[in-house]
Amino acid sequence: MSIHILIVDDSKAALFMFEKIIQLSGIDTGTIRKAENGLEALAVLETFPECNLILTDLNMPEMNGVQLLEQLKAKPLTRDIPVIVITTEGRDGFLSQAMERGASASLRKPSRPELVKSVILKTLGVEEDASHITDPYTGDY
Amino acid sequence: MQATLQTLTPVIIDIFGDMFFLFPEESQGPGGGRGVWHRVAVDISGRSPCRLTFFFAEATALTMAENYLGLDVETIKRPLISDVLKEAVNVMAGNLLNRQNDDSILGIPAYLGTMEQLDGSGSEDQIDLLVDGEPLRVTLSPIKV
Repeated sequence: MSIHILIVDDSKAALFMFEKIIQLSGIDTGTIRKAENGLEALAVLETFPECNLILTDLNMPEMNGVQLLEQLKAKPLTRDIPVIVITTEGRDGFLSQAMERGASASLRKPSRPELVKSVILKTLGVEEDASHITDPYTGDY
Repeated sequence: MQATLQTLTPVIIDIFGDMFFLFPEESQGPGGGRGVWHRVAVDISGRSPCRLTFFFAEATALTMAENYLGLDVETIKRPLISDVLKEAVNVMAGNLLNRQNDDSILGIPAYLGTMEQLDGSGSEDQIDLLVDGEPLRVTLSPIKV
């Protein structure tokens, strides 16, 4: 099964890194699209019906990750897409708000590539093959 | 304020190692001087609202971008370098709150541009570190609500 992913983060550098980690992880990836805040993510999803996973930062301008989750879960077309939230803080408040609104899992920045892959596969219910894990910096296994 | 800065120092060292493969050391005194210094600030609101401002030397900023993105620095466009710095500040400030078990609210980091001179004076409300011999400064200032 190809995974079509939308990555949402206000940092272009973080978007670049998450895309790279996913591409090098060995995950069977289809289309990867990116958005810089929740509003942009909702617009992208209008033309991305095949999307079957969303990774979103929580702390963003315009529309943050919690507000995005509320919108996603309110719409029939997007409410079943699993959402992994990415945060720098482990604050109970922000993170638990996201989990209460239907986030499937969370990742903390910075996260090792192996962990990103593992959380994505677990969220999608796909069995992990550790032999495909690659370090994005060195290309080493 | 002092407790926050004391907690921030090991956070900076850890995050630089994890994200950028750079290993800051404590400086014997405040560094500074002429050059290109990138400024990035983030506000933290809550019980003790404050602003953290980071001053990155040009060489440090370029190495951070190169190591984080895994690209040759000559191929990295300027806006992406400031974006890497903002992301670094976001992660360091977020991990600071996490380590302090603080439920304050982290703002969105802002890139404040460059300056040509960083003064060499010390203060109780700043941290001075060295990254590959280049000064890295962080100042903490209270925000009046």
